[in-house]
Amino acid sequence: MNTAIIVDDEQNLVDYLADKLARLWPELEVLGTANNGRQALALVKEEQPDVAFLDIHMPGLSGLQIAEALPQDTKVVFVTAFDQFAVEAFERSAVDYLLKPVSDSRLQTCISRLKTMDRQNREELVKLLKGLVPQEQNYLRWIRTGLDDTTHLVSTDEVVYFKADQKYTSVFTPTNEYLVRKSIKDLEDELDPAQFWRIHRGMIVRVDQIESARRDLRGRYTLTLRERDETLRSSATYGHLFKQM
Amino acid sequence: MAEARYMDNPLRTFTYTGVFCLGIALVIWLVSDSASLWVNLAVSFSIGWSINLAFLLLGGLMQQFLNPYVAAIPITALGLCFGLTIGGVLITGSPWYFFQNDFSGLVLAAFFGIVGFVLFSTRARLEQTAADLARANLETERQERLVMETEIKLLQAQIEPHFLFNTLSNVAGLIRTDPEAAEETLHNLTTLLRSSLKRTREAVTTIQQELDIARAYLEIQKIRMQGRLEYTIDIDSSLNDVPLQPLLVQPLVENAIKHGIDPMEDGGTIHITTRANGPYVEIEIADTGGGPDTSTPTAGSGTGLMNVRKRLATLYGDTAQLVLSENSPRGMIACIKVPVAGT
Repeated sequence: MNTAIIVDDEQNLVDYLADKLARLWPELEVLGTANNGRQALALVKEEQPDVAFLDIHMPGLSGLQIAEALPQDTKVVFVTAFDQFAVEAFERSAVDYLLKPVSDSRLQTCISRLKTMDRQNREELVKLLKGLVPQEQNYLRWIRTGLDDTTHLVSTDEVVYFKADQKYTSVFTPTNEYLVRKSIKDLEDELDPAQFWRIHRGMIVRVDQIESARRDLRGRYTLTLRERDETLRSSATYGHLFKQM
Repeated sequence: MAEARYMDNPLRTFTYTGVFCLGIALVIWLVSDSASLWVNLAVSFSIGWSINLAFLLLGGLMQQFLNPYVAAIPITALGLCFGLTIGGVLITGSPWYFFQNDFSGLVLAAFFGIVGFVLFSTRARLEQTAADLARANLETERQERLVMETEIKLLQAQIEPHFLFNTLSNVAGLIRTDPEAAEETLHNLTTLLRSSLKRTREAVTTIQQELDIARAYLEIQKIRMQGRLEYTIDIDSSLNDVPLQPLLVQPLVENAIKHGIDPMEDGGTIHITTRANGPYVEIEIADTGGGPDTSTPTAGSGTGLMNVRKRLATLYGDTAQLVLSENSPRGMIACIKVPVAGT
């Protein structure tokens, strides 16, 4: 076992690690380096290295995603500056990782472990990565608003609720109101259903903006909002949404 | 519209009504010689409590169709008739007694019904006003808490741990290969750290100071991202000393890097421009990154913007604005517009 690749979007850090490895593990041959996910995948395919040092945050594919695509025999060492969530997961499953800036002593420990380790437990690694790699979601994140020539962008994170306005839709944020050239039905299809609820034929509300829901005798709910003063009325058809509130 | 509650505490309302009815029965008994006290009490109480009962049972339902004050009229009338019917049965055994034989009861009951209605609705209105006031106070408190929470979040977000450790690793890497760049990066990091400590105490800085911080940040990012980042800062120098609230420009610059340039393999450029526009000054941060249609999901791109927007609203009210639009051919433009006169 004596070949490796280093993947980091910051060339300085690739050089830094390569330099340290050259001193602490002279027989190791660094076959190549890559600065983004796409290059890394090509490199892996071409070189079939024994060890891959992977930065977690990179443009394109993340280090975690690259690890999933590695050949069975390649051992993975993750390198990260600060990633509490991932580091805790690595700790739990004994996956090797290095924290930047990489110290000589920590790298030495990692090297001896790599040398003595037969092979990494692939299944465990893949299982771990499944939990860490964010699932691809293509929900709407930016809304183009405005009816004249100037379009403004509004992030869906800022929206409190949407209200149908004839064939257009009004968008309400804590401080503003905009108009979108889209029907409320089209918007509903594009929004994340975990974050936005349709509460009425003509209304969609952001779930975490709902402060309270009060039921009346006819099964409709009156909603108060966290960051807007008006109250919204749900129709009875959507009452089931609030049962658990 | 919020639903008014006629009866928060039925036991209390029934007791008050009882006292009221007792009074009426005594007065009628004293001024007229027609009936015994027992008859007066029976009629008076059946009317009063019937009206209470009608509100208790029908109050919620009627408000579905009518506003609370209008709804009270038919409810009162209904309770009144019901009470007179019971009163009739109690005295003569005939439910129609007060509607056929003795109209004096009907007239008196209607009169006291109206008096009672006015008294009780005034009390309800007073209580409602008190409740509204309490709610308004609560709302103010909530707003204040929100402002504080936002402040804390902003302070926490000033220097991200990931950014800090990454910068330190770069310095460690550069010390041997490019000591000058390492030193330069440390200076820039110091500027950032110092400003973030200072900003927790200082309320207002100037445009120039804010742009110096942005420059230090961008210089560090340039070292980190190597050839992937370019930036320009285009200042109208007459605006240098215009006062500006801190933590408005910096989050937008960080957003442009984090969600605009950094996710792109081939990077991009950031242009910062300041210009005067009447009584306002505009600061524009334009990037040539992925823009709104980028396929790389970078979660939380809205949080930074939301914080800036909230801050603008708190600090400048309606006079300040943050406008986001698309850059051409790609990327985003964030533009803040604040009054030159300050807050």
